[in-house]
Amino acid sequence: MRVLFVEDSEVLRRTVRRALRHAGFAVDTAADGAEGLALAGLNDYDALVLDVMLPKLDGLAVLRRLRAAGKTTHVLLLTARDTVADRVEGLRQGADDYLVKPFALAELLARVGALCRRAYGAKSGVLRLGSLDLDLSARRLRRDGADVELTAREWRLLEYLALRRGQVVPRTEIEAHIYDEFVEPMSNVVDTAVYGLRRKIGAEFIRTRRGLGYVLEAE
Amino acid sequence: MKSLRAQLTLRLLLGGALLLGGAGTALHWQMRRALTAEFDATLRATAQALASLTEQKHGEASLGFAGENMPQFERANGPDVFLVRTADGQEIERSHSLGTATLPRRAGSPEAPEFFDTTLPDGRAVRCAGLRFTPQDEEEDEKKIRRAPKVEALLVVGRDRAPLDQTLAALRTSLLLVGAGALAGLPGLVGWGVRGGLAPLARLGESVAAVDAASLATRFPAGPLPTELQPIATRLNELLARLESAFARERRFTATAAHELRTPLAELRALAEVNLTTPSTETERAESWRDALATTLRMESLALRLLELARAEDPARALHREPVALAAAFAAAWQPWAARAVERGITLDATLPPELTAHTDPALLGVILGNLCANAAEHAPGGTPLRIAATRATGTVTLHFHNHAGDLTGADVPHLFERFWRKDTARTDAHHHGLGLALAAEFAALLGGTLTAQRSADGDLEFALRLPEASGTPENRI
Repeated sequence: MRVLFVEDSEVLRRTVRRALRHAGFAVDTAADGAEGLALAGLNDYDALVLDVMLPKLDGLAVLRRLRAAGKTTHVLLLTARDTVADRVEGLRQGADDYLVKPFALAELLARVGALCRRAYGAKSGVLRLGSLDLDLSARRLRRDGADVELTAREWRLLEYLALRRGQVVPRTEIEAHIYDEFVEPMSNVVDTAVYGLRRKIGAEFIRTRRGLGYVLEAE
Repeated sequence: MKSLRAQLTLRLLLGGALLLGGAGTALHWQMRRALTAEFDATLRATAQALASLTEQKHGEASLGFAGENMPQFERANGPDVFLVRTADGQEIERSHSLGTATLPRRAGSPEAPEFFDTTLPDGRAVRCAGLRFTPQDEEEDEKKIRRAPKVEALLVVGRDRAPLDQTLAALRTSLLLVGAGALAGLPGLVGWGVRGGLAPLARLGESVAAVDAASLATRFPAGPLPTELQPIATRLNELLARLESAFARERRFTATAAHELRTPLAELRALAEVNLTTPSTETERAESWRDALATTLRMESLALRLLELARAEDPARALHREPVALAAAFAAAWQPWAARAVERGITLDATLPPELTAHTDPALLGVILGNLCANAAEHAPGGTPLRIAATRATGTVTLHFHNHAGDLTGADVPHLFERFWRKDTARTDAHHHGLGLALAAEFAALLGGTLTAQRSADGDLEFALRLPEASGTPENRI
């Protein structure tokens, strides 16, 4: 899952990015509204975490422009304003969720995870795919009841394919959703990740559609 | 506790009682006078009638009294009595009703008899009219009349005054009864009047008592109130408006201060949580500590600024005023910002005469100048000049800070001294909370001066700091 975090506090930006990455998200960050709007227009994010008080262009303006441009990316507003009027205004402008500072990091991660799942129509945090059990909230994989250890990149790949199960997902789309701005994906990086994942969960789950991409079988 | 209603009631009761007493006494006196005058008029008429019946002949006076015409004199112990005597006291005639008693020898003229009261030996109180007159002559011959000796007579007519006294006593009783009734009803009447009269005041008092911090938007309609209460309602409304504005300002300030603290708190909490829940490298740990320190310093800076503002509002704050050379004070305030100004290409053009002094507190002046210098060094567009000049007027000196306004519009200028106001609504860094100019303005007011800002048409922003001049400043041209 790829997330854009727009926040002008450098400390918060770095800290939350670190937490999101550790939780398995690919994270891009922006320090002001204009940069955030540009990145959101350029990339296809699964969720946006948007501070309301931003230099150059405030968070609500970014949200309005995104919605006006037809972007339906799920947005979590993050702000120090906690009045009902502020929250109502944010939701009216098209936000999907609202979190007031200071916040619990675990809550932020859970809300961002929920928004990402909603992007693919999954409401439950647990996916059962044959002998595989994916706990999307706990980021835990079990096969036949036994835990399977995955790297963060492998988890992102499996989670994305699982949320798009039954659909052929092109390599470029996989790249866009599991790598962030700090990673320069090599041409075979997705193939390598798929190879590694197959070794851990079994080759029967992920099929290759030559020239099209990969598909995770639903059953 | 003094009660307005009790005081008014007491005073009105006392006043009412005095008024009733006075009115009763005056009425009684007037009635007594009128009844006595009527009684006296009857006496005078009777006396004049008796006098006209008294005649003289050859020096002998006699009263041609016909008892059948005046039967009241004929009854023993009757109510009316008379006694006619000569001037030397010789009795001419007396009424049967007088018996053997005598009447005082007091007399006026026939036109204005003398009236007096006396008591007869049998205890009857009589009111008398006495007159001295010369009886008519029975002789018809004018010559004989002129030659005959003249007798002067003294007539005293009296009438039992018991009916008069009884009428007066009845009048007194009536007056006393009416007065007592009025006095008995007066408290109720006064209470009703006072209650009704003070009702608008009581209602206003209840409305005022109901106002608390949550209902400062309350206003008292002055129109329906009595004229005397309208100024009170008007002043109360003005006071409430000021209180509401002050409370709203304080609420805004508290909300903004809390808001300003949320972000650093969020940073510290996120730092702590991320380090507790995720494995970190040595570099990440070091970075986290640096971030935590920077955030703490920003919170410390904010807390100190808030504390300074709180102190600035303390009227008991002790000021140590002394002559302070403005050029030296500005140089000291600019020094920490000089490097930052050079870094941003801001050039300083300060022309301050060294002898120009203000009578002020050097510490507070240092804070004001420091904030103005910081504002220019940090917020003036890079590569622009900062000009410092001074002017003098009677008893005051004014420091002018001119720098380019940048993207600051005329509409922004009134907000410059608001707490936490920043052109860009987002946070900037550890030193910029949007409190510096608010603090400078508070301190300027504390020093008996002013700090104002205006944006000139040519795009310059000018701050003017006006302070009392030190009395020893030599006259010179600036």
